[in-house]
Amino acid sequence: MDNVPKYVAASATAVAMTARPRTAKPDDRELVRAAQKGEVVAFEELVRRHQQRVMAVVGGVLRRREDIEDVAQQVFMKAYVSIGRFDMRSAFSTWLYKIAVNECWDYLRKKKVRPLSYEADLSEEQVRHVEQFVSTDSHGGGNPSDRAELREIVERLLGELSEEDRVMLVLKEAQGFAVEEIGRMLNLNVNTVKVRLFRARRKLAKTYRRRVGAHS
Amino acid sequence: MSEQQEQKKMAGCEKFEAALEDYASGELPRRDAKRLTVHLESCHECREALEDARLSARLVAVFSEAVDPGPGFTQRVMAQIHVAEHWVREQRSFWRPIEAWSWRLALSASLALALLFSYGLRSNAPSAAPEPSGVLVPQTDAFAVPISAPPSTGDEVLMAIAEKHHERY
Repeated sequence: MDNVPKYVAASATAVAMTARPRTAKPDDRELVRAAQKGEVVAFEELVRRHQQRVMAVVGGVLRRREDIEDVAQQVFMKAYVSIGRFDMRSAFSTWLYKIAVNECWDYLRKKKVRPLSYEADLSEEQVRHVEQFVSTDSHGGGNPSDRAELREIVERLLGELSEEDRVMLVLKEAQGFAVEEIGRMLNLNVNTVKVRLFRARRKLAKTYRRRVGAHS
Repeated sequence: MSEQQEQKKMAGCEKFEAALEDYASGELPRRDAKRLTVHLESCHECREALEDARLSARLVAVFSEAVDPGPGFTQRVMAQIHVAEHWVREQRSFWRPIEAWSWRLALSASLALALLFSYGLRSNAPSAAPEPSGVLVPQTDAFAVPISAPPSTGDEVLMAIAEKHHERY
């Protein structure tokens, strides 16, 4: 395969992929091996498979929606550049999510984004809004502006947690990552993640009661 | 309840923290869950902690709306990769001829230096012997007292002839 031009090898992989029965898709390891040999099509398939979850990780760390896609693209660029060094000791997804979390920290550091920790009082309208959300099973109001306002209020409440605790909580509760995955992403022991998650939840609830419960 | 009392009471329940996290997410094995349920019946603090966990989970759910990468995301990523690869190739093609010639340039430069050095050694060899230099002459003249000053009058000319004559005999 060494003497075959890249584009021929890539199309060979593409043919092989399409030639397989629909049920037997190449797994991540096969695709990684092909990408390590320089087959761009294989990497493209990896991007297609993992883009949603990478966006979820990045979306769990970053606040501004407009930043999320830019950083997610950067994550895949970095993965492409360093895929040759990936030794397959962990799952490709774990390695990719780690890149995503690090890329987000770098982005926040470069942009010098500080956690929102202002103690300004919530308006009566905001209190009513968030209470209504908590007491119902809705996903944050019917229209996008209501959802955006709710997100802003909760973001202000989360501002009292450390950045890492905030990220853990959002990844677990909002993005549906397992405790084990979060531990691998943040290089933390599973039990540590559980305990920190639990304490972060308690702190958030206390902040809510202090700032929202006090109004009602 | 004071904060100290609360902390003391919670210290006894710390061992349940990880289990409560699993219990709240419904991931605790059935046997452990039964044991924790018994504990929760008697422990107000842990019941409150569990309520807090559920409340915060509800609050954070506001972020659960999936961020959709959109249909063209993969194409945009791959396009960026192609642009980056093209740039890297261009950089390589710019530097490659320079890299190829660099060792020849280095060799020629070192040869030239060696030649200059050997030439310098050879041209310095004869001038190594001490020899009054042109620069020193005016210095010696400046400080040397003339043996005899040139005669300026007729008497002085006669005196000089007499001296010469006297020296000869």
